[in-house]
Amino acid sequence: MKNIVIVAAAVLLLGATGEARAQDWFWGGAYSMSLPMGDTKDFNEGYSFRGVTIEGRKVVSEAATFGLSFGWHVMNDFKENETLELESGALTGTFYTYTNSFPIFVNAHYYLGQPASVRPFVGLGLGGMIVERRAEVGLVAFQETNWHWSAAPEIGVVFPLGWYVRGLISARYHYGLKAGGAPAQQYITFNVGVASN
Amino acid sequence: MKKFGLTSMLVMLVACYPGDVNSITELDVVMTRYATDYNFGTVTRFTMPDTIIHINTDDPSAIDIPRDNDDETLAKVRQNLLALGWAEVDWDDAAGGDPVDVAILSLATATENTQWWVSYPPGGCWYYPCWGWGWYWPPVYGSTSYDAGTYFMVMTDATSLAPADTAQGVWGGAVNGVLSSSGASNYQRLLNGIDQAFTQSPYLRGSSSN
Repeated sequence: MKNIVIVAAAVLLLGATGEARAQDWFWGGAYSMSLPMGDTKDFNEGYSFRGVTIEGRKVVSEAATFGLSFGWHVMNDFKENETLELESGALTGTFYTYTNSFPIFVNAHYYLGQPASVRPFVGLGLGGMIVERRAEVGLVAFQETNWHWSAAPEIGVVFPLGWYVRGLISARYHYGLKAGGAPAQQYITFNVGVASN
Repeated sequence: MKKFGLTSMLVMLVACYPGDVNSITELDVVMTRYATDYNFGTVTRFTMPDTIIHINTDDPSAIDIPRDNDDETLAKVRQNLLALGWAEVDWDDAAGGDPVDVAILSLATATENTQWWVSYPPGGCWYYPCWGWGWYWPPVYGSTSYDAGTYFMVMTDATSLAPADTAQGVWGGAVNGVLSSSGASNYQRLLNGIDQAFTQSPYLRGSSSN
């Protein structure tokens, strides 16, 4: 978590620097909370409060931006006395499971309303997620990391906070195709952050 | 696509694993395996020796395992086998030719494990040359040592016991965990683990799952 705070601080610093360099870019950082779904939920259930998303959006018209987005979303779980059925046996123990997801997207957003006002938006990100899944039981850990081709539709709203700073609230659904030995990954992040341009 | 070098390394460097082990019992593991082509429904008679074989005793990290609770431990295994509806044949009688279907051996090993670690504790310093918040130097280092033990139950098809080196293992159970300083606690965790090994092996009753 300490690393997440450091990354978030770096994002805010990056945002301030971006503000000085280019007025046609939004630079933003958000605190991201994750709600796992599907096989991701089966692996680690429960709402997660560990995550950060950073992004840059280039203004191409009054109503549209194109940009890049990076994230780090952590989900974890603890299952006591869980029995895992194997092909020819079973394993019982206390399982600690962790999903570290690093989404990397090229995205596009469309905004309603007028500049410098409250502006709802919809967006779509295309790219991939590097997903590390790790399970620890006893003194043993099983881990694999895969690149999942992914899409991430998003809805949200930006609103002015003063000067060049805007607030940002959004919900983004992440879906990554199955890859390697890992099933499809899916979860929703709820993001609260700031952006500047 | 599974391995992508540098990126994977970066992930491993920054990945976050929140949560701590709060109790030594959280490190206990019970694992069972079985031969899927073996019909446990035909088993009616078993035999087992009245001793637990200690293995890996020549290992430099091996630690002595007390035998104070051997009888109770074997009794727990016997109790679970009888609960399957199987009848016990005395080990010597089986060796003398009385027919049995399976033989169950008990084995145990325990080792001392040492891990070295190094840490750079966080802190602040407000003088040259390290203005600001950062990591203290020099690092703190040390070692952690723990004892871990494993108890094995190995079931073999008794019809293939001779010659012993070709005996076919048909079921195995392992109870593994970090040993605490309390022998009573370790013993109770072992008994619980033996029960769990049979609980998670319903096919021993000859059900359709095998």
